[in-house]
Amino acid sequence: MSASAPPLDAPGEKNPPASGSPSFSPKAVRDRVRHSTPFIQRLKEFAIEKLLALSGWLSILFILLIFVFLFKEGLLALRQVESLSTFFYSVEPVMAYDAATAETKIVGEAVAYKWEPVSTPPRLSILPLLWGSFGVALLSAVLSTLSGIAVGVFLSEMASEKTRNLVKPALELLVGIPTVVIGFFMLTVVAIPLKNILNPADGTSLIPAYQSLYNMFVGSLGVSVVIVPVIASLVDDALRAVPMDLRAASLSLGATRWQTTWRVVLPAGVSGVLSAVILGFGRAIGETMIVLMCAGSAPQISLNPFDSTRTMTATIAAEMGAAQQGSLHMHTLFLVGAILVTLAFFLNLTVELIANHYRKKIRL
Amino acid sequence: MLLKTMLATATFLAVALSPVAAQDKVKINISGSDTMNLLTQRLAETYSKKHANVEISVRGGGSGTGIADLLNGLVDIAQASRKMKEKEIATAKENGYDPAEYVVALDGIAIAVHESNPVKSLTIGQLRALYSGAVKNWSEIDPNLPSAPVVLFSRESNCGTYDFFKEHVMKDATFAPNTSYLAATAAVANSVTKEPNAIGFGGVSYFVRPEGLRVVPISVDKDSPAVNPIDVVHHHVNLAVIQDGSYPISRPLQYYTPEEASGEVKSFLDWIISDEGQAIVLREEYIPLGNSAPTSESKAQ
Repeated sequence: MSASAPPLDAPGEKNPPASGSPSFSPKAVRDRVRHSTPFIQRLKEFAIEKLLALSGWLSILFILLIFVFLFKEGLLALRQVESLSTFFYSVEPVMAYDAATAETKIVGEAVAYKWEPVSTPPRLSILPLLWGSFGVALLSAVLSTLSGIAVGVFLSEMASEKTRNLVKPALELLVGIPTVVIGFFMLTVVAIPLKNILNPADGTSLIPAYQSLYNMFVGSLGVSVVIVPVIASLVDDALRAVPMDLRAASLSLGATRWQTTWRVVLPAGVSGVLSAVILGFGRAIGETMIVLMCAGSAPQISLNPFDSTRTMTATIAAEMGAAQQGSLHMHTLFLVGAILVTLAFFLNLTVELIANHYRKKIRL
Repeated sequence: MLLKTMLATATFLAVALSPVAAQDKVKINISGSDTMNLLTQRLAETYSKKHANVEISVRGGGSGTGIADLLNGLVDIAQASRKMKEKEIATAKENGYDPAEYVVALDGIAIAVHESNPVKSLTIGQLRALYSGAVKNWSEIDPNLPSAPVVLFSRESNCGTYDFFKEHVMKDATFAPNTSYLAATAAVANSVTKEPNAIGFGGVSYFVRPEGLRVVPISVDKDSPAVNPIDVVHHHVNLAVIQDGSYPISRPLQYYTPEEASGEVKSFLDWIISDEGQAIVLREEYIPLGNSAPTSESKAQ
């Protein structure tokens, strides 16, 4: 507000009315309140306000620090290698077995995608780890999206208050179960019977490709146990936020409950449902313990979902403790961590963008 | 009252933990190989019971970690289930150390398959074929074996067993990408019992009483005899074949000290290779040095 501006354009505190009647501009009101409040109370208020602001800023600071730290350590890995191809592929000898002599010899060379960090030179292709993480996350998303949304819709639209009060806390409890317990359960209780059912030893196999006991599918199934309730709970919240008026209007026009749910409530809450699915996917990417325990821990690129796999998170968990400080291995693990954080960042960003987009479109 | 108790506790803790109290005790810090951790702990317990003035603290972390600790001056002894690498010795020299090596026990790597697998023996070359992925089906090794895909289990890359297997069996080959890396030898043994087509490896002492799995005799090549590291009748490790080196995948377990050992560390090391120490080695199901063992004290190159 410039000082030369005419009084008409800048009313309020700068030009108190001559008549003596008090101004009601926000700042003037705040000033009057401030002057009438005792000093100690003002001090307290000031301190509390700043403390709250500080904790808000601190969370941003922490995220920034994590980003800076991960990228600083991770980018060091880029400087330690001669060529960036180290992080993608290596040329490995092709071995062939000679049954006559029972020896194995090198017969050629081929490009390979190997994660073998403790070898000379270290093989550090992150492609099999990316494959594992996305494989597990996508497969769990496929396994849990429909059932998650179905449970959410049931809770919000169909369940009686009594059922809801029983099921919702149970779901939230399921989210709260330590994932190591779920991993242990899958490992000891589920993995073996599952293989015996899908690919029994007697040759009546449903899925002949099911060879490894611990594989991407078992891991994804475990991860689904965690993310179905996450998705269900978020979908329930999203649909409950859809105004009752919409349902009432739909029903009064003669729509059935199912038509109302399917054609009115779900489209109105679609941003929340999409966000729920993406957040579930993010949770699956970040899941560590379950995949470490029952996905087989083999860093390979395989199209077969029943093959063992190894995710980025499981690799960090398994190897961080033993990697030598300052080694290429350690810095590559940080690089993998940086990739994970970046993924989480973009997934959350997508959720925000979707929410904003639909908010504008539907104007609820 | 509460305050008093807290004060008393704090004082007690301060006194109990103060370096002054520990000064009359000699402290020996050991870290390194997880394979050797249990053995070293037992040895340390027995030794410090007899020598009240010695306090020994043992930490695992892997052979690499132990040697790194040694090079950084953090420990008095590094336990390692592999020899120091050229690079590590060079770093040691740079840091002003001249590490000495003391072999304290022997260990062998057993190769295990599911009990239903009829494979009679394997050569080192066949092992390499299996683990490098050159052979993907058991029947390629021997037409009499079931036509089933091989399921591979290995230890995690941070342990001495992995290093040793890689160096002595894999040589220039890398592991097949479908190898599952497991965190413990017990996990490998457990997984092999559950997978009919599996093969896995780990320290022999884990496979003394195999249930649901079978330890495969190993030979150097096709023309040499296959040797079983386990006495399957009497359920104990076949000591002789490891001590005389006729079992192809056996290795010495050693301690490294920053300099030629002296004082309390020296008497601890001497005690380990004495009959009393070696009896504990045997009891913990590692392999005692025996007569034809490598020299118990030799300078690292």
